[in-house]
Amino acid sequence: MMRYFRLLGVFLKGSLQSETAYRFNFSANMFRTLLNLGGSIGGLAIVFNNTSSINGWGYNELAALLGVYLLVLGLKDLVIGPGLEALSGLSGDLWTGQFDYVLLKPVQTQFYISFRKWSIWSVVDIAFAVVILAVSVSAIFRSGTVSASNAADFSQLGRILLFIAALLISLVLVYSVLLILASAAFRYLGTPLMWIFDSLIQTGRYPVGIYPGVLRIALTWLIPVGFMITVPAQALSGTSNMTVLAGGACLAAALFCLSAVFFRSGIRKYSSASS
Amino acid sequence: MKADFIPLNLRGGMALVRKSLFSFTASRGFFWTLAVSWMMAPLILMFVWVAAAGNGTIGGLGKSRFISYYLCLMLVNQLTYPTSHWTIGDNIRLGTLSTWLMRPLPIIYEAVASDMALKVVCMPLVLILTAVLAVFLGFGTGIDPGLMPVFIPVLLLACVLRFILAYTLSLSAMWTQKTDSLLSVNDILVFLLAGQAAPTGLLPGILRTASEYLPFRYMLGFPVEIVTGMLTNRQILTGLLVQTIWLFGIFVVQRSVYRRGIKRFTAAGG
Repeated sequence: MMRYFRLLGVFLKGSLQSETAYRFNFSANMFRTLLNLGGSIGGLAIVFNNTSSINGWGYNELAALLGVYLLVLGLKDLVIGPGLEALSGLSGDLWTGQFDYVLLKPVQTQFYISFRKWSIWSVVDIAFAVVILAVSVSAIFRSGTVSASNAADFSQLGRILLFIAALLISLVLVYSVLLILASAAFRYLGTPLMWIFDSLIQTGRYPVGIYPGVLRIALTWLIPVGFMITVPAQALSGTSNMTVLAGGACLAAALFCLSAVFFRSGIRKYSSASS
Repeated sequence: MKADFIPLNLRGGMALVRKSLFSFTASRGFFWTLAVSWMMAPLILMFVWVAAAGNGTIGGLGKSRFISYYLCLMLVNQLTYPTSHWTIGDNIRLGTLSTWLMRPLPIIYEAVASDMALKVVCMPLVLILTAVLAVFLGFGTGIDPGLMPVFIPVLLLACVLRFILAYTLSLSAMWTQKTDSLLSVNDILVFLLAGQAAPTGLLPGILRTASEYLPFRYMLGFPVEIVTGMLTNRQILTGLLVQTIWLFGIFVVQRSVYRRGIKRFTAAGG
C-alpha cells in the first residue's frame, strides 16, 4: 500500500519535470481558461439579463454550478484524463502497441494507467473554479436559504460537508465512466470514445433538471452528469436530497466495480499493435 | 509569389476536394465524434432558453420559437463552421505548406477543399440527429419556404465570411508560432455575439449593438434569424449590406496578409 503512495509521488514528480520544461504552456493555458470563463460567465449573464431564474435556479446558484463543473473538469484534467488519454487517445498506447510495456510493469495495471500522467497546468483551472465557487457560495449564504419543497434545512457547515461528500461521489463516477470509455478502445479503435465524455459533460454546465424527460433520465443514470455536477451544486445551495445522494453513492460503487471488470476483460482482448 | 493570381482552377480544386473526402470518409467515426461535439452547445442553450421561457415568452419568443431557432442554428453552425484554420498554423510551422505551394493552385484551395469535404462527411449524421430532435421536441412554427431565396444566398455568404476570417487569422502563423489563442478569441466572439449564447435580439444593450456592426452575427445568427422569420424586410436588407461589406473588407485584408506572409515563409529549418 505504502509503495503505491510512493509511486503516486514519483509519477507526479516526473510529470512536473517534463511539463515545467514548457513554460509557455502555462500562459497559454491561463489565457484559454480566462477565455472560457469569459464565454461561460458572459453566456450566463446574457441569459439572466432576460430572466431571473431557470427552473428554480438563480444566478448565484448557477454560478456555483459552473464552479462545480469547472472544478470537476479541472480535477479530471489534472490526473485521470491525461493517463487515460495516453492509453486510448489518438496515437495512445493502444494504437502504437506501447501497452506491451505497460503490462510488463510490476505494478497493478489499472493503478498505473490511471495515475501515471499528471497535467500540472490544470491547477490554473482548478484555482479559478475554486474562486468562482467561493464567490458564488458566499453570495448564496448571504442571501439566505433557498426555498425548495423537498429541501432539508442544513447549516452552512453542513452544506459544505455534504458538498464534499457529493464531490467525492462525483469524482468516482467521472473516473468509472472514463475508464469504461477508455477500455472500449480495446475493442474498438475507430475514434477515441473518451471524447464523447467531453461532449456530454458539457450538458452539466446547467442543472440536469432543464432537460426534458428521457434525456434527463439518461443524464442522471446512464451518463450520470447529473450526479457529477448538479448534485454537488445542490448541496451548496442547500437543496440537496438525501435519497438522491444515497442513490448516487450506490451508482458510484456499482460503476466503479463495473469499470474495473470491463477494463480487465479489455486487457484480455489486447493483442498488441502488429497484425 | 504569384500563386494568388492563378485563374480559377476548378478541376484541380475538385481533385483536392475528392482527395480530402476520401481520406475523411475513411475516418468518419472520428469526424462524427467532432460533429456531435459541435452540436452540443446549441442543443444545451436551446434547453436553457426553453426552461427560462417556461410557459411564457422572452423578448417575444416562446418555447417553440426557441426550439426552431436553435435547431436551425445547429444546422447552419455545422454548415458554416470551418475547421481547416486549426491546422494551417501547424502546416506553416512544420513546413508542410511548401507541398501546397508546389501545386498549380493557390494554397487557399487546400483549406477550402478540406472544409467542403468535412461538411459532406458530417452532414448525413447531423441531418439525422437534427431530424430526430425535431420529431421529439416538436418542430412546429417558424420556417417560411418563401424566405428560401433570401436564406440560401445569405447562408452561402455566411459560410464564406466565417471561413475567410478564420483563414486570415490562421495565416498569422507566418509571423507568430502560436495562432491558437487568436483562433480561440474568434470562437468565443462567435459564441457570444453570433447568436449562439442567445438570439442576437436578446443580447443586452452594448452587446446587441456590437453584434449588429461586427461580422460575427453575419456568420451564423443572421441566416437563422431570416429563415425563422425574426426579421423585417428592412432588417434583412441592412444585414445583407453589412454582411457584404465585411466580406469584401476581410477579403482585401486576407490578400494583403497572404502576400506579406508568404514572403516571410521559409519552410522549416530555414
